[in-house]
Amino acid sequence: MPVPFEGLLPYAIMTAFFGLAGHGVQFIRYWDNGWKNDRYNLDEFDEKMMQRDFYLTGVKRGQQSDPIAPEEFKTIQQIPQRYWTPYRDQYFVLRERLFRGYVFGDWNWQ
Amino acid sequence: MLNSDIFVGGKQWENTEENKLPNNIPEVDEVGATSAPLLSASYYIGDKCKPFNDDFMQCKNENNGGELNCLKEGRRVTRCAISVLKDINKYCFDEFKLHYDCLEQNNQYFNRCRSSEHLLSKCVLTNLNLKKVVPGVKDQIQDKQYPIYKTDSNDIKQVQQFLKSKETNSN
Repeated sequence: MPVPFEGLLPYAIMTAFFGLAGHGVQFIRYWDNGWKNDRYNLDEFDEKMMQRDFYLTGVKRGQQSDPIAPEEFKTIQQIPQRYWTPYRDQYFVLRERLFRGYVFGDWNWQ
Repeated sequence: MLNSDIFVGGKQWENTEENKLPNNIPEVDEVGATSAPLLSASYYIGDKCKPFNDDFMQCKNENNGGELNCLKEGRRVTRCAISVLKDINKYCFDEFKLHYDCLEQNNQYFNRCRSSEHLLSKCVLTNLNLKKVVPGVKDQIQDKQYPIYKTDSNDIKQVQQFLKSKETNSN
């Protein structure tokens, strides 16, 4: 017995939307990498080199082949920013619990 | 003045070096190439700078890591790498760019970029007389006719385009 096409319409719609979501995310990632494919299987050295690339070019996934780095590169440093609070480590809010590893079970009770 | 004395964080931040190196250590320029160009040029740097690199490693082995004792040797290594990069940029800029762009698109895997690698190696061999040799291996993977991991089709296409445009420019 042939299946009427109306019976397959929901599957077509589901396939189309799953496809749109997946390919859409993939496209956004590709665009966000500066029209380059994702890096994967990275070790510590790769991460370090990507950080160095960022210091040299100023953009994520930027590349350049200049032999000599600019003078500022010798003393470059990145200072990570933290939110300011007068009660740091005093209240037991969810943000701090997350930060200290309480939520995922490696909280130090000492 | 008052502001910076009373309030923490009132210091105006400037990008100046306050703890300078002592004068007996000579200045050296840092390598300005990023990861993909460095990886692309790595075997040529290794070919040209082998004596300096070996010297540096020997110094490190003899001086328990040699963080302070091997500065001179380290500077020689840096300078040599810079010289190779300068030469490649001068003679093989387009081939070099083709290869490191391909590496950057393919997670910096050499096996996906063999055709542009052949192009670059030919240019480097004719102009700089440097050759890629993987140490400690008899069969050089880059010279294999049919490797297990195939070159990326995009790379092959771009190399063909590059060769075609070069021909039309020369005619």
